[in-house]
Amino acid sequence: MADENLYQYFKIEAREIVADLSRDILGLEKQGGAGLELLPRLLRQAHTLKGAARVVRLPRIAEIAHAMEDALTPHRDSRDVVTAEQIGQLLQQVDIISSEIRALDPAPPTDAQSPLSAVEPFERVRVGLAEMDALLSGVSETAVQLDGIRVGIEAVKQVEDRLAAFERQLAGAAPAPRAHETVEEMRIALQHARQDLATRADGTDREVAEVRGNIDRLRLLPTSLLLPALERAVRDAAETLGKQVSFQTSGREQRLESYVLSALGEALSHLVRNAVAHGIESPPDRLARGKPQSGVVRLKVERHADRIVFTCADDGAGIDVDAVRRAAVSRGVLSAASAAELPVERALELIFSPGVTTSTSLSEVAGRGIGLEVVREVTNRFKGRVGVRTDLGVGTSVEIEVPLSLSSIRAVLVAVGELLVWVPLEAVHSALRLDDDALVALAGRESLVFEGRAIPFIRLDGAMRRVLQPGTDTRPRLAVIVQADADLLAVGVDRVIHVKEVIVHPLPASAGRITPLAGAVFDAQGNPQLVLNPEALLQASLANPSGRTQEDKLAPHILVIDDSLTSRVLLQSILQAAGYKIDMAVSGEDAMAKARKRHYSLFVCDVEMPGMNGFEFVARTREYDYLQGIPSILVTTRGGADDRRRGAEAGARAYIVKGEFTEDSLTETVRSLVG
Amino acid sequence: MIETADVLDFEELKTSFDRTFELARVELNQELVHLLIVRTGAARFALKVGELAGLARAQTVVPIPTADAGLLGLAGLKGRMVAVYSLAAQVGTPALSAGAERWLVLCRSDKGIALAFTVAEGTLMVPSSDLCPVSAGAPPHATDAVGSGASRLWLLNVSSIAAAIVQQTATPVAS
Repeated sequence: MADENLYQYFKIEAREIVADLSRDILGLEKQGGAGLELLPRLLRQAHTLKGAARVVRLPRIAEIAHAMEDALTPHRDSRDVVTAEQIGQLLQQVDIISSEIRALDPAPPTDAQSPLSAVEPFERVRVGLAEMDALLSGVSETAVQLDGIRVGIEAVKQVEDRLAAFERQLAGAAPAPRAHETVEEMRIALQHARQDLATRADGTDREVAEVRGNIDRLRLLPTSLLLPALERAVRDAAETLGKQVSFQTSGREQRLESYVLSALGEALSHLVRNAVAHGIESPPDRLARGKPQSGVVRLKVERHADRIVFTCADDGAGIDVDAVRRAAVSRGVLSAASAAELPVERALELIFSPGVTTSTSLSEVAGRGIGLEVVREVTNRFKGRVGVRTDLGVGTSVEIEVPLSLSSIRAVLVAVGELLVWVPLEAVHSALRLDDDALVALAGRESLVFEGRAIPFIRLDGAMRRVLQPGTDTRPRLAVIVQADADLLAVGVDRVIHVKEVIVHPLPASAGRITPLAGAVFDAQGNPQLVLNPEALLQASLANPSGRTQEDKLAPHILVIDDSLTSRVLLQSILQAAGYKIDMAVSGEDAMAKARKRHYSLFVCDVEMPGMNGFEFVARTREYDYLQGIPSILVTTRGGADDRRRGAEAGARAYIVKGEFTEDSLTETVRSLVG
Repeated sequence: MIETADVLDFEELKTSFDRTFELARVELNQELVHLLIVRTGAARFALKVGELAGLARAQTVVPIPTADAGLLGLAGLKGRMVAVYSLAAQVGTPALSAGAERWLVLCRSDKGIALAFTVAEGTLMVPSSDLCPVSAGAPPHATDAVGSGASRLWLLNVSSIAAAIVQQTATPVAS
C-alpha cells in the first residue's frame, strides 16, 4: 500500500481525535482541572490515537499519545485536579501531534494557509454510518421500486402476448369466442399495469430525490467543527499575552461546504486572535475601566437567506479611529489630508489594508497587520463582505458575510396551482387559514390584520410573477406569515405540502440578482424548485406601494399606542404610507415594554386607555433617561382646553383630536418632530 | 458541406452532436468547422459545436421573477443549475410564445448559461473556407454566413452571446 493510501484514513481519524482532545483539554481548563467526565474521555481519545498511530507505523505520534495517557491516568484514579501547567503541556502535545499529522500531507502550495492559521483544512470528510445507511437505504429502495417497474413491464408484455393471440384468432375463419370478454380482460390488465407503473415511478422519483439530497448533504460540514480550533486560538493568544478571555458562541448550527468552512475558519482564527490581542485589555486595565477582569470574545453564526454571517465581537477597548488613520498614513496607504477627511466608517475599513495595524508592538499573536488582510482576502474570494463596528472603550464587532454555494435548510413547500416554492422554515412565523374577509386594502395594498396590526399581504404567484394555467383557482386559502427582524409579511398560498430538509443551490450568477429568491432545490427529476428569500420579499413588499426604498430600515420607527384596533390600523396605514416603520401597542403598559426593547423615534398615543392612560404614559416616558428624548403626540377624542393643557404638562409635543385631523395634517405634524 | 442538415430524431442528433467532440481533433486538420443548426421561430442559425457543452430536448424550464424578458428561467442540466436565455431575444428575432423554446444548448463558457430555441435541426461540417464574413443586416453576435441565397445561415458566436449576458447581469435588473 502506498504511504498516501496508508495514511488516508488515519489522517481523517487523527484530525477528529485532535479536535476532540483540544476541546476536552480546554473544557478541563475551564473546570479548574477537575474533570470526572472529561478525564475518561481524554484517556480514551489518547489511547485510540496511540493505537491508530501504531497501526500505520507512526511511532512519534504513538509515543506522544502514550505520554498523554501517562499524564492523565493518575488524575482519573486519584481525582486530583490537573494543574494549569499540565494542561499547558497537554495542549503542547496536541500541537506536536497536529504538526506530525500535517507533515503527512504533501507540501502545500505557497498560497496555502498562513503560519498563524489554527484551522485545519477540511479536505476529506468522514462519512458517518448513519449517513451511509441512509444512502444505502435510498439506493436499495430505488432498486425495489425498479423491480416493481420490471414486474409492471412483464405484465404489459403478457397483455401484448394475449393481444397477439387474439389477433391470430380474429384472423382465423371462425369468429373469436368471448371476444368482448377478452378485450375487457386486457383493458383491465393494462389499466392495472399502468397504475402500478405510475405508482412505482412516483416511488422511484421520491427515492432518487432522497439519494440526491443525501449525497449533496455529505458535502456539507457543520460550523461547529471550527469551534475547537477557534477556542484554542483564543486560549493560546490570551495565555501568551497574559489576558483573561472567555470564548462564547451562539447561533444555530449551519452546514457549509468544506472548502468554504476551511477558508472561513482561517479568517475567523485571525479575527479571534485579533480580538484578544488588540481588543481585550489586560486585567488591570479592565479593572481600572470598571470592567470584569476577564474579557469576552463572542462568535455568532447566522444564516440570512442565501448568505451566512459570522460576527466576532469583543468587549474590549474598541478601535481608535484616529490611530487607524495615522497607521494608514504611515504605511503610505493614503495622504494625511485624505485620512483626515475620511468618514469614520471608511477610516475603519483601512484596518483591512495590507500592513495597517494600530499595534505598537509585535507579538507571537498579532501586530503585523496581516490577519485582517487575510480576512478581507477570504471574503473577497467568496464574493462576500466584511464590516466593522466599534465603540471606543466598549468593544468591537467584525462581521463576515459570504454567499452560500450549497447549504442545507429546513423548509416548507407551499403551492398555488402548479407553482411550488420552498420557504425557509426559520423565517416562518406562523400559518393561518384565510377567511373570506381576512384581507383589507390599506394604503393601496392588500393587508392582513394579524395580532392586532395590519401586515402587508402578497400572493405567492404575484411574488413570483407567475401567470398560472387558465382555470387555476388562485384564491389564497392560507397565509404563511414570514418574519424578518421585527417585520412580518403574509404570503398567500392555496396549500402547504410538507416540511423537509432540503439542499439549496445558489442561483447561477448569469441569472443576475433575483431578489425574491434565495436559491433553488433540485427535485427528483433534476429540475429546479424555487426557494423564497423572505427578507428580500418583505423589503420589496414594503417598498412598492409607497415608493419606499431598500433603505427602509433607516426610516424613523414610530410606536402607535391605542386600545382600539380600528384606530391603530388607521394610524398605521397613514404613517406607513408616509414612509415610517410602525410598531403597535395596545396599552401604555404594553408600550413601555416595547420601548424597553427597541428605540423609537416617536410615540403616537391615545389618551383614554384601560390601565395607564395616555397622559400617564407620556409623563412616564419623561422619567426615564432612555425615553426622555423621544417626542410624543397625543391623538384623542378629548378636545377640551383642559385636556390639551394636561397633555402639554405631561410632556406631549403635539395634541391631535380624532375626527378633526387629515392624513396630511397628521403626517405634517409627525414630520415636524421626526423628519 | 459534408452532411445535410435534415431534421434528425433526438437520439440521432445527440449521437451526432456527441461524436463531433470525438472527431474534432481529426477534422481540425481538414479545417472543418462543426456546426449545430438550430431554428428559433422562423429563423435558422448555426452554432459552433466547439462553443457548446451540451444539448437537451424538452427540458423543463422553471420561470423566475425577473424583469428580463429574455431570461426564461432556470433548468437543471448535467446536475448544474443554469440560467436559460431565449436565443431569439439575444439575436433580436421576434419573441416566441411561452414554452415554444424547448431545446437547450449549454454554453461552454463556465457561466451556467443555456440558450433556448425551438428545435435543433441537425449538425453540419463545413470547410472553414466556406464561411463568409457577415454583411449588413446580420443579427447581433453573427460572425459569419454559411451558404448563400435563401439557404444562407448566420453563424452565431455563442461565447459573445454568453459574454453579453454576463455583462448585462452584472448590472442588476430590477425584479
